[in-house]
Amino acid sequence: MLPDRDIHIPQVLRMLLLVWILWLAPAGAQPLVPLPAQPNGVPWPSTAWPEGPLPHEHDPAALEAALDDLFVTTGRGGLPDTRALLVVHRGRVVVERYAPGFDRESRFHSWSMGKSVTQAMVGILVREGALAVDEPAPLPAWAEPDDPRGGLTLRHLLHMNTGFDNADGGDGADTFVGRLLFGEGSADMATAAAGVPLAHDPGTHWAYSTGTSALLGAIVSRSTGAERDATRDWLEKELLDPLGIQSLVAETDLTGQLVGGSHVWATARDWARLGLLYLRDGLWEGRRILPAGWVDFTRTRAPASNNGTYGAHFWINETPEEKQFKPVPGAPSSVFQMSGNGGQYVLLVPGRDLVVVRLGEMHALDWPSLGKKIGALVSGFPEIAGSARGVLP
Amino acid sequence: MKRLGLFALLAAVLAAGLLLPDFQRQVSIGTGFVAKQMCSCMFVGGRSFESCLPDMLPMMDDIEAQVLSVGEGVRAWVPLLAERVARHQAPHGCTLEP
Repeated sequence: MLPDRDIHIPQVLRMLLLVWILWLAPAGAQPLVPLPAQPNGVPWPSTAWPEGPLPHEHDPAALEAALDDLFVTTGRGGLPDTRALLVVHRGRVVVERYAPGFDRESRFHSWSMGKSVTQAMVGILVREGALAVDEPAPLPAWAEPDDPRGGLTLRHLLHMNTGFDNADGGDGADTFVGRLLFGEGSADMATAAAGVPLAHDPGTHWAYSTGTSALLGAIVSRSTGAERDATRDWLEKELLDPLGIQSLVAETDLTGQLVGGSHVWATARDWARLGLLYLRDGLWEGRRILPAGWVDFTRTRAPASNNGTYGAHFWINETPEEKQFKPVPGAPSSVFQMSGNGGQYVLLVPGRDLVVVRLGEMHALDWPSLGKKIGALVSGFPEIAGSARGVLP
Repeated sequence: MKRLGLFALLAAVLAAGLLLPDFQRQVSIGTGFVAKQMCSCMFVGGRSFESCLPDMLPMMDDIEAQVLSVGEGVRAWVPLLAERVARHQAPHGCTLEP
């Protein structure tokens, strides 16, 4: 029995596609799991989210146990670690729980999930022809003819392999990211981020960096009118209004340029809308929001990524390099996600047509433990037949 | 005697800020964090001041904060060392001032 889908491919084409995947794909490379289309008869959530029951394969008792495990309290103030948990399965909200004091109208901070929102904005500008992935990043600070940074492209920025030694991380507040977001760089983040010299050849050194995302935020701002009201108008017209997102706030620095790497706020249901856009290959109600191929670019491993689990401003769940952890253990390798400090997740599971949104705070964050809990939640949902082989059913 | 002890303490704090640039920078970043995050938590997140406080990092427990009396925003400070302000303006959220 074929699942309901918007697209049906004749049997002979499916066989040819399977032959191509098995014989022509590079040895060792896993084909990307096809992105599921919106099921027939399920309304898009542009005005309201359709709701539905759990699939019959899912054990309700196991789900409750998984949710209870996520809503434990290990932090301060008596609030549960998880403040919102929402699951969209086959286009419908099937699970939604909030901690006391929070509800579907509450906005939640992105932390680094903001990087993925900035990536979406870049994608729209690429689709519009205002930006090109393999052209030099249009930043005035690098415009001098002999500046080696002038060769850095948007692809380098999106893959976080610019060659800068500007990685987040470190002890205490006095780190590159701490100074950028809250210290001496906070008034003009793009200038602070652009002032870093190249330490490695572009494309050869991966460094997870909020500064790199700040540069993308500035590029988006400059490409959409340079003044923050103009950027906001563009964002509403091109992304928020089409998806029915009403709550999203993308904060800026004092220059009016988008922060880029953090500081985006939205409700859980609006975060889920953003996730669904990626799960549906950048399409929304038949309209192309993100360029063709953008989501595959998003979820393909970045070259030189030294942990093997990063795509283009999204994390991916492939088998990690030695000494690195799998972001969501127990969940398929095809999973890709927005991810932020404190355990913010918008998780996409193409092979199960799932969006999982987890929002909260965890100061003593144990990523592997949280990843396992989310993996346990995901594992209860059935796979779409044939998706693991990379073939559309 | 008590007054002499308090004077000595204030002098020590001031000296630490002047003589230890790293310490000064940490305090500035910390007050910036509290001002910005409290502002956004309250005016973008829609939560109360008391509800937002536990979400600040434990290392910042000694930073004072209060809601601005004029306009929407938060001021955070460590006496004699650092003070930062973040202001809210819809639909752009909170912006941290230098």
